[in-house]
Amino acid sequence: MLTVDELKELKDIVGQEWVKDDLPTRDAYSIYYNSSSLNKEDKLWTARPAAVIMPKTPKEISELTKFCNRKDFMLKPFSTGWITSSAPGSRKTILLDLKRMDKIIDIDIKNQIAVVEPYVRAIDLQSELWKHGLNVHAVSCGGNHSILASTAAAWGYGITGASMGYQARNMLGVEWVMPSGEILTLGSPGDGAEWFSTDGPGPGVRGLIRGFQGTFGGLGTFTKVGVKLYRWDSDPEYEVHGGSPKYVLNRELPNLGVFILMFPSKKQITDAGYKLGEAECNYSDFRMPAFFIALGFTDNNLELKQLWSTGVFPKLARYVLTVCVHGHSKKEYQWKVKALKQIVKESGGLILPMQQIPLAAFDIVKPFFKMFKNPLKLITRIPFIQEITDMMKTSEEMRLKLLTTAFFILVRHANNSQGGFRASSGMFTSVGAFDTWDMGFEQADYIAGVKRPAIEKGLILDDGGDLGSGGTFDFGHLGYIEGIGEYSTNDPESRKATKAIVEESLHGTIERSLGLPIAAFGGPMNQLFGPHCYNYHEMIMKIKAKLDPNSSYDSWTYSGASEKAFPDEKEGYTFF
Amino acid sequence: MSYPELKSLESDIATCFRCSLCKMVPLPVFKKQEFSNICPINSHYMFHSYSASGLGYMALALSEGRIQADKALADIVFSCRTCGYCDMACNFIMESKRNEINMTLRETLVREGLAPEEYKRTMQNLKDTGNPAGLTHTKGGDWAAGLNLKKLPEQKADILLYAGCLTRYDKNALLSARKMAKLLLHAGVNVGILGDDENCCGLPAHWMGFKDNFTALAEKNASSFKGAHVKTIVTVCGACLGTLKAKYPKYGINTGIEVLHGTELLERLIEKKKIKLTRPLNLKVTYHDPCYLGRQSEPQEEWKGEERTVFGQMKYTVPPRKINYGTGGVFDPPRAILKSIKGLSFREMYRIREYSHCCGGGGGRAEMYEKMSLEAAKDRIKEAREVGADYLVTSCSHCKAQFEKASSDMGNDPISVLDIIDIVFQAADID
Repeated sequence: MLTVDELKELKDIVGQEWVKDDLPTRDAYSIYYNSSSLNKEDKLWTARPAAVIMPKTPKEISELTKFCNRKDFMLKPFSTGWITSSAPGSRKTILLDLKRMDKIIDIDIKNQIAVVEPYVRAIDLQSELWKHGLNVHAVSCGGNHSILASTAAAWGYGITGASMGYQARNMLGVEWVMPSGEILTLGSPGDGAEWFSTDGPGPGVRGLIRGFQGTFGGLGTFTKVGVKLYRWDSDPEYEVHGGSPKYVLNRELPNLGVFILMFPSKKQITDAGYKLGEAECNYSDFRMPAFFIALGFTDNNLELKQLWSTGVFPKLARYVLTVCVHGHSKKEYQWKVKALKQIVKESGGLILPMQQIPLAAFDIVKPFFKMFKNPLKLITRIPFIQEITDMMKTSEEMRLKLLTTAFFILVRHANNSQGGFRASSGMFTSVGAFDTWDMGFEQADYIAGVKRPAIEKGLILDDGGDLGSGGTFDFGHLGYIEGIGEYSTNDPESRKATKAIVEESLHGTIERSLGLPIAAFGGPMNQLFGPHCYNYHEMIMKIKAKLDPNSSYDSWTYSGASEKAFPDEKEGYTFF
Repeated sequence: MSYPELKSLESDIATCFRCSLCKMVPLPVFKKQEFSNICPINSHYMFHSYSASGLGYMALALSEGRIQADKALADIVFSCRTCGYCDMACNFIMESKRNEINMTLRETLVREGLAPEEYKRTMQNLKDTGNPAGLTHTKGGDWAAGLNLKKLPEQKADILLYAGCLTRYDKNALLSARKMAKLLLHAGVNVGILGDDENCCGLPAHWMGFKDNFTALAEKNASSFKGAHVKTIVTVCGACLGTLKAKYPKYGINTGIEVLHGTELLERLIEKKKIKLTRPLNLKVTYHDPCYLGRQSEPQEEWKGEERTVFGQMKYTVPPRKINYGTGGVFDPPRAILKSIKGLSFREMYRIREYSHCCGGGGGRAEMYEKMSLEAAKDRIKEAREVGADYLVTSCSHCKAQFEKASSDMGNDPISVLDIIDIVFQAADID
C-alpha cells in the first residue's frame, strides 16, 4: 500500500488528477481478456494494482521509474490494455495506463516510416496513412490495438503478414525509458523524429529489447516507436451504408479485390499458399476455419445453429484461404488476379463466387454433402467448374455484403472481434508458432485432436475441432496458424476444460516439435520452452538482472515473477 | 451486503473482454482519430473505470463484496451521461447488457443513499413542481399562450403535442415549441396540449437512477395520456421521445398510443405538401443526433422465448431475441427535412446515427460535471466545424441548450445552434 507521502510524490510527477488509488478504479484494472482461464484460482480477478497512473511524457515515466528503483513498488506499462499480459503481476505493481500518449508524431512519406506514441491504435494510423498512399501492418485482434505494443513489446502477427511481414521486423526505432529511468533512443525512425542512432550491423540492441515475443512491459516503457510502412494504392477512404452490426461498402475499392479460395485438401491449400507468395499476389491472406465462415454467413446463433447443422461447412470449407489482392496500378492488379486464378486452378482449388448464399440453399445441397467424405474433391473435378461458378450472379448488394465482410477482416481489421465472441462468449488460443505454412496446419490438426474429448463432453464449443486461424507471412516464407477454441466465460467447467486443453497443448508442442507457441512468454513458460530452444530463458533472466537490478518493472510476463512480488504472487499464474 | 440486481448481471459482466470498443466508434465506420472516441466520461477522465467496461468490473467487484458502495464509487458512477453508446458498441460484437449494467449500478447506489445531494434536490423539485429545475415563475401551459391549442382532455384532438419541461420553461426552447404548434396548426393538424397538467416525462429521474420515482411519474403520465384519448403523442424534445417510446415500455409502462417526435410528423406533413418549404435558406448545416431521439429511442421489445444450448456451449434463443443495435431510432426524418430545404447545404459529421457523440448534457445535473460535459459538447462543435458547417442543428432541447452553453465558451470559434423546428419554420415562410 502506498503511503500518503509516496502518493504525493507520484502526484507531483504527473499531476494530481492522473494518479488513482481508490479501490473501485484499481478493481477496474484487475480484469482482462481471458484472465479467468489464466488464473490459478479460476477467478476473473488478477492482482489488484497498488495504483493506476496516466503519464503524459517520457520524462514523467522516467521519474516514475526512478521512484520504483528507490521504493518497494514496480511499474507495469500498457497501451490499450486488452489482454491479460497487461495485468499487474503483484499488489505492489503500479500500472501505467498510457492512454494519454496518443499522438502520431510523424509520417515520413518518402522513407515510409511512421513514429507513434503508445496509444495510437492501428486504425488511427492506418486512416491517416491511406491519405498518403501508405499502410501499416496490424495484428489480427483488430484495428483497436496499439501499434507501438505490437511493434515493440508484444507478439505482432497479423493478417497482412503476407506482404508486410510481422511487427518485430517492422520496428525501425524506439524511444525507451529503461528500467534505470534513463531515456534511450534506438534506430533511425525517419526525418521527423529528431533522433538517429546506429544499431548494427551485428547483434542489435533492438533485438535484445524486442526479442521474439516481446517484453510485455517487463523491461521498461517504450514511449515512441518508428514503424516501417507499406504501400497503399487504393482510395484514401471509403463510405459505407447500412447500420450496426453490418456496415456495407458503398462500392468496391480500386486496385483491390478479395477472394475466397477453397481447396479439397491440406496439401492443396499449402501448395497454393506458397505459390501465391512466390507470385507476390497476396497483399493479405487468412486461413478461415469452417466454423468462422459459417458464423460470418449468419446474423444470430439460431441461424448459425441451422447452418452448421447442415454439415455442409465442415466438408466444403475445411481448407479455405481468403486472399486480398492489391495492385499498385490497375494493370498490376489485373496481372495479380490473373496469377491468383491460375494458381488456384493449378492447385485444384475453386474460387467461391463473391456473393452471400441464402441459408435455404445449404439445406438443398445437404444430402449430397452427406453422401461423400470430401465432396469438394468431386466438385473441383467437374469440367469448367470455375467458369460455371464465375457465372453465378446475385444482386450487387448481396455481393457487396460478402465482399465487405472479407475487406473488413483482411484489410481494415474492423470486425475481427465479432467472430470470436458471439458464439459462446469466450475464445482461447493455444498452439501456434511462427514457422512454415505447412507447420501451421500440423498445429491445427494437433490442437483439433486435443480439443476433441472436451468437445465430446460438451465442455467447449463444438466448432468441428479445427479452428486454426492464421495465414502466410513474408510471401510464404513463414506461416502462422493459431489453435483457437471457444468456451463459455460463465461455465466453470468450460473454463476448467479450456485450461486443461491449453496446458496439454503446450506440452504436446514440445513433444511433437511444433514450434514456440503464442503463450511462450513469462517465467514458467520460459522455463518450459527455453531448454528446447537454445536456453533462451537463461538469456532473458540475465538481461533482466543486468538492466533492472532493482526490479523497477513488473516482469511476470517477461522473465517471471519479480523479486519484489509477494510470495503468494510468485506462484499466482498458471501459465505465465 | 448483497445486491441481487447486480448478482443477476454477473454473468453478463463476465463476457466483457476489455477490448475498449465501448470507447470508440465501430471500427468499420472509423474516419479520423480526432473524432473517433465517443464515451464522454472516458474521453475526459481517461481512466478505464470511466467506461462501460470499467463500470461493469466495478459493479462485479461490488456484487462480490470486493469493494464497498461508497463515495469513491459514486463519484465515478454518477459521472456517466447515460448516453447509451456503450450498449450499441458492445452489441456490435455480441449480445450485451452494458447500459442495463450501468443503470443497475446507478440505481443500487441511489438505494444506498449515495446519490449526490444535487440529485436529491432535483428529485424533490420534480415531486414539488413537476419539473426538475423547480421552476414556478410560469405555469406549465404558459408556453402556448395565445396559440388557441385545444386543451386536453376537456377538448378532443387527434394529436397530443407534448412540449417537455425544458422546452416549457426555457425562453428559447419554448419559442421552438410555439413554432412547432404553429406549423401543425398551419398544416391543419387537430392538435391539443395538456397545458398546466403536463408533467415532466421523468427522464431526469431515470438518468439519475431513481427508478421508483421514474416509474411512478411514468405511470402518472401514462394515465394522463390515456385520458386524453389521442391517437398520437408528438414530442417537441428528442429526450422526451426516447423516454416515452423506449424507457416507459422497458419499465413495463405501456400507453398503447403511438409516440412520434416532431420531426417524424413534420416529415410526413412535408411529404403530403401540407407544409411547403418554399423559402430558400442559404445555410451550411450539420445535424447532431440526440442520444434519446436516436439510439436510445429504439424500442426494447420484451422477448418471450426459450434459451437453448447447442454444440456444447453455444447459446441461442427461439425465437431469436432482438438485439438493440440502436439503428431503430429517429435518424432519417431530420435529415430528409434538412435535405428538402432549398439552398441548404447539408454535411454529415463523423459520429452519426447509432454511433452519435453525446452532447454531454444528459445523465442528470450536467453542471455537476461541467468541465467534462462541456468538453463533450465542444468536441462535437469542433467536429461540426471540421465538416464545414456554420450551423449545428439538433432536435432536442437538452442538446441545444448544452451546445449553446459550450459555444458561448469557445471564444473565437463558436457555432450557431438551431433547433430543426426553427429551420423548418423559416423555410415554410409562415408567421
